[in-house]
Amino acid sequence: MAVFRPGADDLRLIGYQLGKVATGLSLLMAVPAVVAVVLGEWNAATALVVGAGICVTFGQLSEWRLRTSKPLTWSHGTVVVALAWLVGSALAAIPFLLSGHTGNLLDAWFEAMSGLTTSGLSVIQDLDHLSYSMNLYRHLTHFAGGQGIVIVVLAVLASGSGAGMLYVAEGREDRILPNIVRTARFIFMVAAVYLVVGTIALYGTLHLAGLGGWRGLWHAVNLFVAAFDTGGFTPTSQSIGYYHSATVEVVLLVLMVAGTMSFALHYHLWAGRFRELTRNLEVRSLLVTATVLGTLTLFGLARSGVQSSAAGLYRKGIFTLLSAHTGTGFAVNAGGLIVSDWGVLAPAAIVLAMGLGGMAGSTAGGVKALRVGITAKAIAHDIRRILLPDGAVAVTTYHAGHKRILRDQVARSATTVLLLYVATYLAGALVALLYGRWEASEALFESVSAAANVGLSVGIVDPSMPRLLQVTYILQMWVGRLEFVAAFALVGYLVAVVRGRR
Amino acid sequence: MGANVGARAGVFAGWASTEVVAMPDRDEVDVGVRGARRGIAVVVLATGGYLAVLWLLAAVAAGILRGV
Repeated sequence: MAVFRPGADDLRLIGYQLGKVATGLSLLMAVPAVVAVVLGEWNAATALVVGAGICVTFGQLSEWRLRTSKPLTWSHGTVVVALAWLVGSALAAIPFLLSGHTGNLLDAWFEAMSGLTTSGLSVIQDLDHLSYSMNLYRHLTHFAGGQGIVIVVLAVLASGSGAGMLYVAEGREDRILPNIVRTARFIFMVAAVYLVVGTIALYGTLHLAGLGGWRGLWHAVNLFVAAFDTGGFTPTSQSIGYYHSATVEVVLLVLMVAGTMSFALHYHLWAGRFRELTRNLEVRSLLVTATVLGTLTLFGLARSGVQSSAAGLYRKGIFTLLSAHTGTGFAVNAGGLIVSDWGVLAPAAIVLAMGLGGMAGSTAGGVKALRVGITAKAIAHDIRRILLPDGAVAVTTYHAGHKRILRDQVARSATTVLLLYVATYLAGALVALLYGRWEASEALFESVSAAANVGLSVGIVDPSMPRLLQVTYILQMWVGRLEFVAAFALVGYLVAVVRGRR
Repeated sequence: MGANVGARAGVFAGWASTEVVAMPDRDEVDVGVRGARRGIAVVVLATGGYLAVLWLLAAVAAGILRGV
């Protein structure tokens, strides 16, 4: 098949769109920069202002030198998205690098990629002494990444045909633009309403736990962003264990579950279509896997003898399991204990939960509940076809917004992505095993956590981790977030640039 | 058309592949304060109910551990 080399116009268009992403990131840095100035955190303020300045410069240069009215095609859009996460994370790393809390550029890039992909793995040094504003910036990367870098730019900057075109493959339907913008704004509305409700609930429970005042409010905002965007960063190095509060954990569980629900499902519920909750394939799939894996975790943990009371089993086992399944990555105890003290069954269930992930169309990572459900339906469909007489027509349907027929193409797509995730999980584990420092269970745990954008850690991820492994995890977080397609498209595009035909 | 656009938006945001996101049409997006209230209430109630079921499971596991 002939591959055509992209022209200078194509590359110009891509650069122009990336400039918009940089401008969006400058706005993201401006918020904590203001906080830093108000609190007199001058080191952090300098780091954030310099970072924002570089982003603005990049954005304005692209506006000045690369502005084009060339329409965006499907391939352009896909390449822009793939590059947006790479370039965006590199730019977002600047404040971390300048903060003095990362050892080198790679650490800073890792932190930014982890934040933007809502993974939550951290290599920040001396986290407990990180400034308030820089810590807020860490959490805001979850928000920006969770809502989608491109959507952030779209919702904030779209005013005409420019940014909105990014969403239109063929770029020829004018009336699509207001639709996209309103869709993006609906997503932000959901996040904003939950921000108010969730922060108030968290503030109340934190106050009861003894953390009141403005410091409690600051913790509440950060925790909300990390929970609802299924991120996993926390203001302190002890994660959720720091708060020692069952009520805080319950509120966070609700927020994590709300965050792992697709925005489409939120929409149906907000529109009063409550039956969607019982009929939706993703909800059913998630319910089944969470219940089965929750049961395995509880019994595995009970057998290990680490926890004997129902409250202990629940607060350690269920919290960790749902934190893993929703793709959040909050921890209530030191991660290393999960593989060293919890026996075999409970860690295995947690690794599976991380790998399966939450719902598609949410901020969760992993295979996604819909693909799990579709794969299960496809297997059942194949079995039915074998059992039915020759010539009989077997039709399998599933509900996702409305009733849909399970077509071969959909089933093949779901299983392909599922297999790609499994391959990525294994590849990351093999790289860790090359060093001979960790058990296979630890290597697999950390690899799945990175590629499924979860953030639970058994301790492999730290500032002194091997550089090759760190780059591997960065790439895993990136392809995991993009669900492979955009990453592959970028590789194909680069090949076309080098070897394509004019 | 709305679902298509939502799907593309999902892809571009890096959330999901085309077949899995179905976002609302333009005219249906405005659901109002009442919609937000009932949407959040349903999520809280459903999640709370499910967490209660998991609590029962934890109690059963603890009971088995004690040989009950």
